[in-house]
Amino acid sequence: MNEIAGSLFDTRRSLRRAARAEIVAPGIVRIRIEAGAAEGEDRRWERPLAEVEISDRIGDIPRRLTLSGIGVFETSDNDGVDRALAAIGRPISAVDWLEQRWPIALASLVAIVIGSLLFVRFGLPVAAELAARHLPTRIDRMLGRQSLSALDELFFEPTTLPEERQQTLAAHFDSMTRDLDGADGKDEEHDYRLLHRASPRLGPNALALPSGIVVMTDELVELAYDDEELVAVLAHEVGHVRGRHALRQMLQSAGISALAFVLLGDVTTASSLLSAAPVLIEAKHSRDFEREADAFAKNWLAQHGIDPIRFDDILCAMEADAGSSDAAGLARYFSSHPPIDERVRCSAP
Amino acid sequence: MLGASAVGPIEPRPALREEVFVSEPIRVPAVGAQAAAEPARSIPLEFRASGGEYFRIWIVNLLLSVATLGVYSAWAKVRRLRYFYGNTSLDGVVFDYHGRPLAILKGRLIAFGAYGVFYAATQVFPLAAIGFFPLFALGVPWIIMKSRRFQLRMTSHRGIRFGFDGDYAGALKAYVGWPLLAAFTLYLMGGRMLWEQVRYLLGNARYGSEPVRFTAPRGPFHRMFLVSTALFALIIVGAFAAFTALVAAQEGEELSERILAAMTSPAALGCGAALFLAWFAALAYYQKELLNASFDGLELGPHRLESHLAFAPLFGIYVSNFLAIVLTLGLYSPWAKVRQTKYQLESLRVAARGDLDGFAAGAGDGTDAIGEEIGDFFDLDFGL
Repeated sequence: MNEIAGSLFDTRRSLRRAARAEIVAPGIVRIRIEAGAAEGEDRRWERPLAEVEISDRIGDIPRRLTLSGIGVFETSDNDGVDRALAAIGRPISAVDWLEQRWPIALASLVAIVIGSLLFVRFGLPVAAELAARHLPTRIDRMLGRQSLSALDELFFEPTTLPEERQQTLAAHFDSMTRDLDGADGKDEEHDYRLLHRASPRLGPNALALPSGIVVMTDELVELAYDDEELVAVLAHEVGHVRGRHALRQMLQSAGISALAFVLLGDVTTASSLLSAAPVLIEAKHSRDFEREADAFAKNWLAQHGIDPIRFDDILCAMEADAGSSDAAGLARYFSSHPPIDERVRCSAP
Repeated sequence: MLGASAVGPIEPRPALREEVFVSEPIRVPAVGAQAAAEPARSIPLEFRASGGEYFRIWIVNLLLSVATLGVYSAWAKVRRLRYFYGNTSLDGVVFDYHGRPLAILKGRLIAFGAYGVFYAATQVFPLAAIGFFPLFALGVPWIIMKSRRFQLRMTSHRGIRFGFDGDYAGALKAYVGWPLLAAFTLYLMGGRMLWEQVRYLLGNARYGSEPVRFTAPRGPFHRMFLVSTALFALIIVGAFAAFTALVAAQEGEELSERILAAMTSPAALGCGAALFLAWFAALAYYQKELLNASFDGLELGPHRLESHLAFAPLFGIYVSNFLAIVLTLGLYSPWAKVRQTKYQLESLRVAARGDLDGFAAGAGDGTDAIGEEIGDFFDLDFGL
């Protein structure tokens, strides 16, 4: 049986002594000090190999054999240790076997890339929706609690809409949200309210807070051809609230952070470079939510005797008013909304 | 709770130390006549890891971590650290890491839970972040102390564990007291703050029962802090000035149009490249000064550590690593890490007087103390 050369440390002192390990009988290892033993001290010991704690092989770093009562035997002879282990039928480390092979490393890389893409594209939205279904609507109300005052400060001014006009729109909105409640009784917890604000900064627009508050700008009311168009916009915003998009967006970003933590945790240098990735993914998810709200609005309109084309009309009018051509090239991947020509078909102005 | 756990289980050390030395009259590692008699022998640290091998280890363990929803990452961390420690050798003997994956997993779960609570709380009540601040101020030094203790206790060389005796009061001073004082003096005391923190991390370390002596003077810390602050400030001001000049040079009515034109002009590319180089130059200067000032002159028994990092190689490594990582979408990272570690470690040498055989183990260092495992909490990387 071949000997394994190494060093013995007694773990009480940093003294290093050249030593050899040898299998002397099946499953019995003998450690022998070559030199440096003190007067009257043991020079060799025998232990059952099964009682020796042997560190896993990693790359080609020295192995550590911990022998109770003797100390630590350290050796660079990795193959020798593996042969000794094989002799007593102990399997070699599976992880090490994988780590030694380039084809497996490359296959791992491909699996990680494809797996992460599939997870972000399909797994995460489904998981977030499932999780949202099990979370109380109370959370939605808490999420939006402080948003309105912040928005008022940043974008809004008091409305100049006549009281009468506000009441008409409120009536449309109430009948819409009441009907939602009646449909399946699932959404009684959102506190639906329609608010009006003037916003020269945002222009014609409407937005929904997770709590159920929908804010419509005076500019939008002016832009709309008739109330049906405004109802179409309201249906889109209600679609966001009812779909709990804010909560799902939050859950999905948490999922992305968790994935990034697992992927980049060990190599911190790369993490700063990939910081653009979550932005891209979240923009993509945001566009998905817009599509969902569009579909909800058109469906609701169709069910309530309004031509869904009215939604297209108001969207086209808003687009024309904003006067921006669609984001082209790379910029569209950062956009929170899908390109207009994908959402609706606008007739030439 | 914090105070109690800060008192380490290292009390009965002197008794055992004597016991060890009684068994054999080996050299007692103390600076004295014996140490002065022998000329110092300069022993380099060697680092033998290979980028390709580390890439395979990294990617295979990453796949296993992802496939197990992060659970395996604790095992991956142990393999990674053992790979790096086991490739670092001094006088022909490698270092070893003894962290147990289950202990690390436990720490990660707690950290993950704490982060989850914080994340949810700040999402629902953004103002809650302010409420967390005192908790952070008191908690971070405790985490630093525990992490450092875990990190050093789990490190061994020649069969002897390292240890860390820094207490909570010391951590509080170094990581809350001095930063506050530095802020009040408009960061004139910034260098002193750095020195205090490095002294806490290194000066409380021990190898076996032998404490490390931190002898670094404060001067280099003051100089490094002021110079790096000035450099980074200059870079930021320079970036702002270059941007303003570029925008002013563009023609166009709308400001946004001019900004867009400025950012896509060839001159912007040149400015960007210059800024990028300046940034890494400042970073390399800071890292080189900090590591040299921290490690050079560190003493253990009769031995003394020397650190000889130089600016140019470090700067070259930073720039080339960054470019290679960007061009390979992060795949070069393992090679980058091995290159940087190799240069930093191999710039260290031990001026040894006599051999390294005479150190005794500290009491109870072989056994894992409950609670210290949790020190792995937020996986702090001190870089020291």
